[in-house]
Amino acid sequence: MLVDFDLIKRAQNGDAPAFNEVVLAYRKRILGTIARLIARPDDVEDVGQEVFLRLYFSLDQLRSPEVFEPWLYRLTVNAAYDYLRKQRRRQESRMADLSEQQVMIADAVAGSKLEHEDRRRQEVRETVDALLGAVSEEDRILLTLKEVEGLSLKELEVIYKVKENALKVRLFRARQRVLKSLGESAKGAVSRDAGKAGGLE
Amino acid sequence: MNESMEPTPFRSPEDERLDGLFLAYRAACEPRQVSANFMPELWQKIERVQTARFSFQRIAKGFVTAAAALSLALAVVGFQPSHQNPAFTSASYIEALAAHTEALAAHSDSNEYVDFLHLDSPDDVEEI
Repeated sequence: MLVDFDLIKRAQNGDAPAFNEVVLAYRKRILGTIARLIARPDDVEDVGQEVFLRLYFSLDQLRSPEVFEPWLYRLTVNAAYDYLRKQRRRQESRMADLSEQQVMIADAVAGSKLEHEDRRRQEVRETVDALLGAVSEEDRILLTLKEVEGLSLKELEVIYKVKENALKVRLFRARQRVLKSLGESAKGAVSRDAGKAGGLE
Repeated sequence: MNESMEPTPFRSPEDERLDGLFLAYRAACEPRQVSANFMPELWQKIERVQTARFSFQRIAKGFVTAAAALSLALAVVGFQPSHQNPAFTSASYIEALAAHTEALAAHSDSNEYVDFLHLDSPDDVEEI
Protein backbone atom coordinates (compact mmCIF):
# COMPACT_ATOMS: atom_id res chain seq x y z
CA MET A 1 0.00 0.00 0.00
CA LEU A 2 1.31 3.40 -0.93
CA VAL A 3 -0.89 5.17 1.63
CA ASP A 4 -2.15 4.22 5.08
CA PHE A 5 -5.70 3.12 5.78
CA ASP A 6 -6.42 6.22 7.81
CA LEU A 7 -5.85 8.45 4.78
CA ILE A 8 -8.26 6.38 2.69
CA LYS A 9 -10.87 6.54 5.46
CA ARG A 10 -10.49 10.31 5.63
CA ALA A 11 -10.85 10.55 1.84
CA GLN A 12 -13.96 8.36 2.11
CA ASN A 13 -15.43 10.85 4.56
CA GLY A 14 -15.10 13.62 1.99
CA ASP A 15 -11.78 15.10 3.15
CA ALA A 16 -10.51 16.81 -0.05
CA PRO A 17 -6.83 17.17 1.02
CA ALA A 18 -6.80 13.44 1.93
CA PHE A 19 -8.20 12.54 -1.50
CA ASN A 20 -5.58 14.80 -3.08
CA GLU A 21 -2.85 12.88 -1.24
CA VAL A 22 -4.26 9.54 -2.37
CA VAL A 23 -4.25 10.73 -5.99
CA LEU A 24 -0.70 12.03 -5.73
CA ALA A 25 0.47 8.74 -4.23
CA TYR A 26 -1.11 6.51 -6.91
CA ARG A 27 -0.98 8.85 -9.91
CA LYS A 28 2.32 7.63 -11.34
CA ARG A 29 1.49 3.95 -10.95
CA ILE A 30 -1.99 4.30 -12.42
CA LEU A 31 -0.79 6.42 -15.35
CA GLY A 32 1.90 3.81 -16.05
CA THR A 33 -0.67 1.02 -16.09
CA ILE A 34 -2.99 3.03 -18.34
CA ALA A 35 -0.12 3.82 -20.71
CA ARG A 36 0.54 0.10 -21.12
CA LEU A 37 -3.13 -0.78 -21.40
CA ILE A 38 -4.10 1.74 -24.05
CA ALA A 39 -0.75 2.44 -25.80
CA ARG A 40 -1.74 6.04 -26.70
CA PRO A 41 0.58 8.42 -24.80
CA ASP A 42 -1.51 11.49 -25.64
CA ASP A 43 -4.63 10.12 -23.97
CA VAL A 44 -3.07 8.62 -20.85
CA GLU A 45 -3.72 11.63 -18.61
CA ASP A 46 -7.34 11.92 -19.75
CA VAL A 47 -8.01 8.29 -18.89
CA GLY A 48 -6.11 8.74 -15.62
CA GLN A 49 -8.32 11.67 -14.66
CA GLU A 50 -11.35 9.56 -15.53
CA VAL A 51 -10.10 6.86 -13.13
CA PHE A 52 -9.63 9.31 -10.26
CA LEU A 53 -12.95 10.98 -11.05
CA ARG A 54 -14.68 7.59 -10.73
CA LEU A 55 -12.68 6.98 -7.57
CA TYR A 56 -13.88 10.25 -6.04
CA PHE A 57 -17.55 9.51 -6.66
CA SER A 58 -17.45 5.85 -5.68
CA LEU A 59 -15.09 5.97 -2.72
CA ASP A 60 -18.00 5.74 -0.30
CA GLN A 61 -18.83 2.30 -1.76
CA LEU A 62 -15.48 0.87 -0.68
CA ARG A 63 -16.22 -1.43 2.26
CA SER A 64 -12.73 -1.71 3.70
CA PRO A 65 -9.49 0.17 2.94
CA GLU A 66 -7.63 -3.18 2.75
CA VAL A 67 -9.06 -3.86 -0.71
CA PHE A 68 -8.37 -0.35 -1.96
CA GLU A 69 -5.58 -1.27 -4.41
CA PRO A 70 -7.35 -4.08 -6.31
CA TRP A 71 -10.40 -1.88 -6.33
CA LEU A 72 -8.43 1.01 -7.86
CA TYR A 73 -7.00 -1.43 -10.42
CA ARG A 74 -10.53 -2.48 -11.25
CA LEU A 75 -11.53 1.15 -11.86
CA THR A 76 -8.43 1.55 -14.04
CA VAL A 77 -9.22 -1.56 -16.06
CA ASN A 78 -12.82 -0.41 -16.59
CA ALA A 79 -11.78 3.09 -17.67
CA ALA A 80 -9.15 1.65 -20.05
CA TYR A 81 -11.71 -0.78 -21.44
CA ASP A 82 -14.22 2.01 -22.06
CA TYR A 83 -11.51 4.07 -23.75
CA LEU A 84 -10.43 1.20 -26.02
CA ARG A 85 -14.00 0.50 -27.05
CA LYS A 86 -14.61 4.16 -27.94
CA GLN A 87 -11.26 4.34 -29.68
CA ARG A 88 -12.01 1.30 -31.83
CA ARG A 89 -15.34 2.78 -32.92
CA ARG A 90 -13.73 6.15 -33.68
CA GLN A 91 -10.84 4.55 -35.54
CA GLU A 92 -13.18 2.49 -37.71
CA SER A 93 -15.13 5.57 -38.79
CA ARG A 94 -11.99 7.68 -39.22
CA MET A 95 -10.20 5.08 -41.33
CA ALA A 96 -13.29 4.63 -43.46
CA ASP A 97 -13.16 8.35 -44.30
CA LEU A 98 -9.53 8.30 -45.44
CA SER A 99 -8.11 6.72 -48.55
CA GLU A 100 -5.18 4.32 -48.19
CA GLN A 101 -2.84 6.90 -49.72
CA GLN A 102 -3.96 9.54 -47.22
CA VAL A 103 -3.29 7.18 -44.34
CA MET A 104 0.21 6.45 -45.68
CA ILE A 105 0.98 10.17 -46.08
CA ALA A 106 -0.30 10.91 -42.57
CA ASP A 107 1.88 8.12 -41.16
CA ALA A 108 4.94 9.37 -43.04
CA VAL A 109 4.45 12.97 -41.82
CA ALA A 110 3.95 11.78 -38.24
CA GLY A 111 7.00 9.54 -38.53
CA SER A 112 9.33 12.25 -39.83
CA LYS A 113 8.58 14.43 -36.82
CA LEU A 114 9.65 11.86 -34.30
CA GLU A 115 13.13 11.44 -32.98
CA HIS A 116 14.87 8.12 -33.47
CA GLU A 117 14.21 6.78 -29.95
CA ASP A 118 10.63 7.94 -30.03
CA ARG A 119 10.21 6.29 -33.41
CA ARG A 120 11.60 3.01 -32.13
CA ARG A 121 9.25 3.16 -29.13
CA GLN A 122 6.37 3.91 -31.39
CA GLU A 123 7.25 0.98 -33.61
CA VAL A 124 7.23 -1.36 -30.61
CA ARG A 125 3.93 0.10 -29.43
CA GLU A 126 2.39 -0.25 -32.88
CA THR A 127 3.66 -3.82 -33.31
CA VAL A 128 2.32 -5.01 -29.95
CA ASP A 129 -0.83 -2.93 -30.44
CA ALA A 130 -1.43 -4.69 -33.77
CA LEU A 131 -0.75 -8.10 -32.22
CA LEU A 132 -3.13 -7.39 -29.37
CA GLY A 133 -5.70 -6.42 -31.98
CA ALA A 134 -6.12 -10.15 -32.55
CA VAL A 135 -8.00 -10.46 -29.25
CA SER A 136 -10.97 -8.65 -27.73
CA GLU A 137 -10.54 -5.54 -25.58
CA GLU A 138 -11.22 -7.60 -22.43
CA ASP A 139 -8.56 -10.15 -23.33
CA ARG A 140 -6.14 -7.44 -24.39
CA ILE A 141 -6.41 -5.82 -20.95
CA LEU A 142 -6.15 -9.16 -19.14
CA LEU A 143 -3.11 -10.19 -21.17
CA THR A 144 -1.43 -6.81 -20.68
CA LEU A 145 -2.01 -6.89 -16.93
CA LYS A 146 -0.49 -10.37 -16.78
CA GLU A 147 2.33 -10.23 -19.32
CA VAL A 148 3.30 -6.56 -19.33
CA GLU A 149 2.27 -5.29 -15.91
CA GLY A 150 3.44 -8.52 -14.34
CA LEU A 151 0.45 -9.05 -12.05
CA SER A 152 0.13 -12.51 -10.53
CA LEU A 153 -2.89 -14.74 -11.06
CA LYS A 154 -3.82 -14.21 -7.39
CA GLU A 155 -3.89 -10.45 -7.92
CA LEU A 156 -5.92 -10.84 -11.10
CA GLU A 157 -8.33 -13.11 -9.27
CA VAL A 158 -9.01 -10.33 -6.73
CA ILE A 159 -9.36 -7.65 -9.43
CA TYR A 160 -11.62 -9.66 -11.73
CA LYS A 161 -13.43 -11.63 -9.00
CA VAL A 162 -13.06 -14.70 -11.20
CA LYS A 163 -11.58 -18.10 -10.29
CA GLU A 164 -7.90 -18.58 -11.04
CA ASN A 165 -8.50 -21.55 -13.36
CA ALA A 166 -10.94 -19.59 -15.50
CA LEU A 167 -8.36 -16.80 -15.78
CA LYS A 168 -5.65 -19.30 -16.76
CA VAL A 169 -7.77 -20.71 -19.56
CA ARG A 170 -8.70 -17.28 -20.82
CA LEU A 171 -5.10 -16.06 -20.70
CA PHE A 172 -3.86 -19.17 -22.48
CA ARG A 173 -6.37 -18.81 -25.31
CA ALA A 174 -5.65 -15.10 -25.68
CA ARG A 175 -1.91 -15.74 -25.78
CA GLN A 176 -2.36 -18.46 -28.40
CA ARG A 177 -4.31 -16.02 -30.57
CA VAL A 178 -1.59 -13.38 -30.21
CA LEU A 179 1.08 -15.98 -31.02
CA LYS A 180 -0.82 -17.00 -34.13
CA SER A 181 -1.04 -13.37 -35.16
CA LEU A 182 2.71 -12.98 -34.52
CA GLY A 183 3.41 -16.03 -36.69
CA GLU A 184 1.26 -14.69 -39.50
CA SER A 185 2.92 -11.25 -39.40
CA ALA A 186 6.37 -12.92 -39.49
CA LYS A 187 5.32 -14.99 -42.52
CA GLY A 188 3.99 -11.83 -44.18
CA ALA A 189 7.27 -10.00 -43.55
CA VAL A 190 9.28 -12.90 -45.00
CA SER A 191 7.14 -13.06 -48.14
CA ARG A 192 7.38 -9.24 -48.55
CA ASP A 193 11.17 -9.40 -48.24
CA ALA A 194 11.28 -12.26 -50.74
CA GLY A 195 9.14 -10.23 -53.11
CA LYS A 196 11.45 -7.24 -52.81
CA ALA A 197 14.52 -9.41 -53.39
CA GLY A 198 12.84 -10.94 -56.44
CA GLY A 199 12.07 -7.49 -57.78
CA LEU A 200 15.70 -6.40 -57.38
CA GLU A 201 16.94 -9.37 -59.31
CA MET B 1 7.26 -16.09 -14.88
CA ASN B 2 4.36 -16.92 -17.19
CA GLU B 3 1.68 -18.66 -15.18
CA SER B 4 -0.58 -18.40 -18.20
CA MET B 5 1.75 -20.72 -20.06
CA GLU B 6 1.27 -23.62 -17.65
CA PRO B 7 -0.83 -25.74 -20.03
CA THR B 8 2.11 -25.87 -22.51
CA PRO B 9 5.38 -27.06 -20.99
CA PHE B 10 7.17 -26.54 -24.31
CA ARG B 11 8.11 -22.96 -25.13
CA SER B 12 8.53 -22.22 -28.78
CA PRO B 13 10.82 -19.54 -30.23
CA GLU B 14 7.63 -17.59 -30.95
CA ASP B 15 6.86 -17.60 -27.21
CA GLU B 16 10.32 -16.21 -26.47
CA ARG B 17 9.84 -13.58 -29.15
CA LEU B 18 6.48 -12.57 -27.76
CA ASP B 19 7.90 -12.27 -24.23
CA GLY B 20 10.68 -10.06 -25.61
CA LEU B 21 8.11 -7.91 -27.38
CA PHE B 22 6.06 -7.56 -24.21
CA LEU B 23 9.17 -6.52 -22.31
CA ALA B 24 10.05 -3.91 -24.96
CA TYR B 25 6.43 -2.78 -24.93
CA ARG B 26 6.58 -2.18 -21.18
CA ALA B 27 9.62 0.07 -21.64
CA ALA B 28 8.11 1.81 -24.68
CA CYS B 29 4.92 2.63 -22.79
CA GLU B 30 6.50 4.36 -19.83
CA PRO B 31 4.41 7.47 -19.27
CA ARG B 32 5.89 10.89 -19.85
CA GLN B 33 6.25 13.47 -17.10
CA VAL B 34 2.87 14.13 -15.53
CA SER B 35 1.68 17.56 -16.64
CA ALA B 36 1.29 20.33 -14.06
CA ASN B 37 -2.36 20.68 -15.01
CA PHE B 38 -3.24 17.14 -14.00
CA MET B 39 -4.56 17.94 -10.51
CA PRO B 40 -6.27 21.28 -11.34
CA GLU B 41 -8.00 19.65 -14.32
CA LEU B 42 -9.07 16.69 -12.19
CA TRP B 43 -10.63 19.00 -9.56
CA GLN B 44 -12.34 20.99 -12.33
CA LYS B 45 -13.86 17.78 -13.66
CA ILE B 46 -14.95 16.75 -10.16
CA GLU B 47 -16.62 20.14 -9.61
CA ARG B 48 -18.33 19.96 -13.00
CA VAL B 49 -19.80 16.53 -12.22
CA GLN B 50 -20.83 17.71 -8.74
CA THR B 51 -22.61 20.75 -10.22
CA ALA B 52 -24.39 18.60 -12.80
CA ARG B 53 -25.44 16.13 -10.10
CA PHE B 54 -26.66 18.97 -7.85
CA SER B 55 -28.77 20.48 -10.68
CA PHE B 56 -30.21 17.06 -11.50
CA GLN B 57 -31.04 16.47 -7.82
CA ARG B 58 -32.78 19.87 -7.64
CA ILE B 59 -34.84 19.12 -10.75
CA ALA B 60 -35.71 15.66 -9.43
CA LYS B 61 -36.72 17.13 -6.04
CA GLY B 62 -38.89 19.72 -7.85
CA PHE B 63 -40.64 16.96 -9.77
CA VAL B 64 -41.22 14.92 -6.64
CA THR B 65 -42.67 17.96 -4.80
CA ALA B 66 -44.93 18.82 -7.73
CA ALA B 67 -46.13 15.21 -8.00
CA ALA B 68 -46.83 15.06 -4.25
CA ALA B 69 -48.78 18.35 -4.38
CA LEU B 70 -50.82 17.14 -7.36
CA SER B 71 -51.60 13.82 -5.64
CA LEU B 72 -52.71 15.69 -2.52
CA ALA B 73 -54.95 18.01 -4.55
CA LEU B 74 -56.52 15.04 -6.39
CA ALA B 75 -57.07 13.24 -3.10
CA VAL B 76 -58.82 16.29 -1.62
CA VAL B 77 -61.07 16.63 -4.69
CA GLY B 78 -61.83 12.91 -4.70
CA PHE B 79 -62.80 12.73 -1.03
CA GLN B 80 -64.94 15.89 -0.99
CA PRO B 81 -68.70 15.01 -0.58
CA SER B 82 -70.74 15.96 -3.65
CA HIS B 83 -73.68 18.42 -3.02
CA GLN B 84 -74.97 18.58 -6.58
CA ASN B 85 -77.59 15.77 -6.40
CA PRO B 86 -78.22 14.80 -2.79
CA ALA B 87 -81.49 13.02 -3.64
CA PHE B 88 -79.75 10.72 -6.03
CA THR B 89 -77.04 9.77 -3.60
CA SER B 90 -79.32 9.44 -0.56
CA ALA B 91 -82.25 7.62 -2.27
CA SER B 92 -82.53 3.85 -1.92
CA TYR B 93 -82.92 1.58 -4.91
CA ILE B 94 -86.73 1.20 -4.39
CA GLU B 95 -87.18 4.98 -4.11
CA ALA B 96 -85.15 5.55 -7.24
CA LEU B 97 -87.18 2.91 -9.11
CA ALA B 98 -90.46 4.51 -8.00
CA ALA B 99 -89.27 7.93 -9.14
CA HIS B 100 -88.27 6.46 -12.48
CA THR B 101 -91.70 4.78 -12.94
CA GLU B 102 -93.46 8.05 -12.14
CA ALA B 103 -91.35 9.87 -14.64
CA LEU B 104 -92.17 7.26 -17.31
CA ALA B 105 -95.89 7.55 -16.57
CA ALA B 106 -95.78 11.32 -16.91
CA HIS B 107 -93.89 10.94 -20.15
CA SER B 108 -96.48 8.53 -21.67
CA ASP B 109 -99.34 10.96 -20.75
CA SER B 110 -97.72 13.78 -22.62
CA ASN B 111 -97.21 11.48 -25.63
CA GLU B 112 -100.94 10.74 -25.88
CA TYR B 113 -101.62 14.46 -25.85
CA VAL B 114 -99.15 14.98 -28.66
CA ASP B 115 -100.66 12.17 -30.69
CA PHE B 116 -104.07 13.64 -30.28
CA LEU B 117 -102.85 16.97 -31.50
CA HIS B 118 -101.09 15.26 -34.38
CA LEU B 119 -104.31 13.66 -35.65
CA ASP B 120 -105.96 17.03 -35.82
CA SER B 121 -103.21 18.65 -37.71
CA PRO B 122 -104.21 20.49 -40.98
CA ASP B 123 -102.47 17.89 -43.14
CA ASP B 124 -104.53 15.06 -41.68
CA VAL B 125 -107.75 16.94 -42.22
CA GLU B 126 -106.93 17.40 -45.88
CA GLU B 127 -106.26 13.72 -46.29
CA ILE B 128 -109.68 12.83 -44.77
